[in-house]
Amino acid sequence: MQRLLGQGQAWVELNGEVVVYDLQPGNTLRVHPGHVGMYQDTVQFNITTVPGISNALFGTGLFLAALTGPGRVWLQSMTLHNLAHAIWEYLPHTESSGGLVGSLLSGG
Amino acid sequence: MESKIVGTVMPVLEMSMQPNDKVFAESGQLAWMSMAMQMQTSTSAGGQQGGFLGALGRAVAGGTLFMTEYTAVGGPGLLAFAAKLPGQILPLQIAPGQGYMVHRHGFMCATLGVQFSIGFQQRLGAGIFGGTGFRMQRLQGQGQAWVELHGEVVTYDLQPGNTLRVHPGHVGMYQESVQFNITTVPGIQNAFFGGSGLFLASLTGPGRVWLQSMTMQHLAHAIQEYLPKAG
Repeated sequence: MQRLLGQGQAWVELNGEVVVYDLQPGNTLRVHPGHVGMYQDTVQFNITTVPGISNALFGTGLFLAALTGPGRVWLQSMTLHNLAHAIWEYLPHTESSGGLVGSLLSGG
Repeated sequence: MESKIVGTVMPVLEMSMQPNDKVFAESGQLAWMSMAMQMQTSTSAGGQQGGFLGALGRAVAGGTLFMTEYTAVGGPGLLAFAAKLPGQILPLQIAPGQGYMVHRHGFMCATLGVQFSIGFQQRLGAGIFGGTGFRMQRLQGQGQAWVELHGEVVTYDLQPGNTLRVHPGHVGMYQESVQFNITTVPGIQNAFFGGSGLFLASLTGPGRVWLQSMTMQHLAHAIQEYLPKAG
């Protein structure tokens, strides 16, 4: 993450829709790391493992971010990771290029 | 259980769950959740039938082998899923005889009682559509489901026998009463020089179809030239 401290004004960009939660002290939200857009520095951030070995191996992956109040968090709906993952299979890869015929048949 | 769709262009599906409320989704779809939510991942989570072969079918359909069931335990919980591309999230009421076919990146989550499976793998299309094949996801059973369609969504109510021919990527969803076929474009010039490729999906009523303006294929194609060439 990037840290903004000191005195003055700053501008940041969050991607996609932004959903804001005000966390009470001790209140925790577990977030897929790419969706963490921003949080106040009163919020505690930890990387946690998902309980259950099958969740870890076959689910969301091993890690979730745990954000614990007090403080405000801004979550973002779009992550570069998800977008890249979504379109990856449609990009040409050197090992499986279909060539001209492939691109004709695939309909562009 | 209450659901809320937050935002406009890149919406988030936010579920407020009462204790013991459950939904299931493909594994890896989670955006965020409160501490009351518990996850359980397996090939049969969410009450999905078909065992390991059913799971394999889902994987072939563009999904994952594994499903994750989310349960609110010990109190109300909050659970959120995010759209993968700009578009819309639609809630669906599923009942026996009222199932849906959804494009292969469409399924977000559903209540238990909904069956999620591979729709079909068109014989003609298999191995032709860019090596990924042409597949849809099928939602049947009983309950509520949420799907994402990409870009703008255009809806048509097809009368019986009424046919619409659609570039396959634009097929977002249709009621299972609609017949789906892959057709070739008549005229060899259309096929080779028309730019639409050899194949169109033909959708025949009765039933409702939801077409989507954005497809992952088109997006990938559009940004491809800005990416570094690997070798």
